Amino acid sequence: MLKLRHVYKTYQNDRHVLRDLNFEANESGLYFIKGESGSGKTTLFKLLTAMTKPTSGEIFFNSVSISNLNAEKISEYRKNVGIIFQDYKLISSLTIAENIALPLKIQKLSATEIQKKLNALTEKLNLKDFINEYPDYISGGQQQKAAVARALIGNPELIIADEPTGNLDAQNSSGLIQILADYAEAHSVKGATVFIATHDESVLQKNNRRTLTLQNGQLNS
Amino acid sequence: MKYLFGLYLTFSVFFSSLVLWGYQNASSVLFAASEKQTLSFSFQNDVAKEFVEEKIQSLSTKYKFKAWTLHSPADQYSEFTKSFTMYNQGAFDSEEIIKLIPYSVDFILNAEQDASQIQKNIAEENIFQETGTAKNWLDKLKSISELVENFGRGLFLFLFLTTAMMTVATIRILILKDDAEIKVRSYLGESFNAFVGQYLLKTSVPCIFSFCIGLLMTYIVYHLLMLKLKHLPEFYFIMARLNFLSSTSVLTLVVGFSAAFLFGYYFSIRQLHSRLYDQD
Repeated sequence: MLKLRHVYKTYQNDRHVLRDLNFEANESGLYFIKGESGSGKTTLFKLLTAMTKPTSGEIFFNSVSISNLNAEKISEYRKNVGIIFQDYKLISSLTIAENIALPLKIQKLSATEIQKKLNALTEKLNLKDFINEYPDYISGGQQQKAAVARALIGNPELIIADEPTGNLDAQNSSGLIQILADYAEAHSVKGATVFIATHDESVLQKNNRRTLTLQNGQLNS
Repeated sequence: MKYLFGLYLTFSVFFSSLVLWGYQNASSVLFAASEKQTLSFSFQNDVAKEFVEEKIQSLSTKYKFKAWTLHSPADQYSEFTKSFTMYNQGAFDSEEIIKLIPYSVDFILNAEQDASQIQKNIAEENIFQETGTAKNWLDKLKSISELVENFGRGLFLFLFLTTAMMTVATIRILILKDDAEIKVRSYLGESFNAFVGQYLLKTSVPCIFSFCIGLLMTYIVYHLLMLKLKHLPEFYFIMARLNFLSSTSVLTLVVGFSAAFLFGYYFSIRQLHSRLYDQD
């Protein structure tokens, strides 16, 4: 499903951020990526979301290289990827419902279909109370839940979450990890893979999952 | 910025359409092409009509003029009173005035004929009290017209470049304002064409509106001028020849400003493309 082969990323100042990454996620499910700040987690996520391309090496998603895509192909690829940002990145001019439904709108689904999926997901994630609010008027925990819902609503095969528990307390962190783990399991037939980047040891200890360690730009499983 | 851009575009269209309108009318009022090769002569007051006609016929045969027009004293008086109605108040008896007006004739020369030489030759015959050529003053007016034309071209170029620059600046500011939202939409899989359409709509609608306002302002100036001239009989001949912008002039403005807008739009949107999709 996702394969990294000899991936290097070097920035203009010749600083090697990532060195010879090799990884293959044959099985769907949830993976943690552990690493201290500056270890290259964000760069790796940028590579996986086609925001940047590797200096050398190749990244394959469903056997297709995503390292050198054109704008049209990048858009198509991103429709199949759910991204959860550390700072949520909800659009402040849209309500929570509109934010969550945005990927479906971009995929040009009908209004009825969007509403149906939105109702089901907000019911499941318990978001009903604040879906008509604007992001600036709800708590950080609620915003994070909305961001997760937005990543899941398009039913993507790949989910990438960059430090999603960074701004949450222990209870909310566990809840969020559970939602993502449930999603990965529920979609295992189709083959959904969830990557969660974290540097929080307590999150890793509470959730006994496959963990990849990113250290000095190298990935160890 | 959007409003400033709209205001700027309105005045750009206004000034350029005003220059275009001025040039268009200067041409039609002052330069009828056939007048460029015209010689005008006034006979002595005491000559008879038969002599005038005979002389014109012989000159016409001699110099092979393209055409000629004879103006009788009565015709000239009638033309004068039509243009300058305030003098037509009956202070003098019209018959007396007509007696004071000589016959005059306009010879239209062929393009290859030397107007100055023919004028000199005819003047030597001593049958005319006054000779003149439209060419001399038309040449002076031509240089003024060329000045207006060059100024118009310069103004167009300036407005074209500044409109393109203003378009780039406005779209960039709009994009920067929406930067966070654009990025999020792009990460969710929004296609680049969707952004192109969205910003084209956002910017072209105010542009079309500003263009129409600019043109309307020129029309108001034209209309006010016509109202003013209506009360100034001595400028009746100007009023009779003034027209609003021709469809060709409006098309020139539309094409010019559309090109400037699309030029600016293309450059701004290219920058957005590289920001969103160039994987460095």
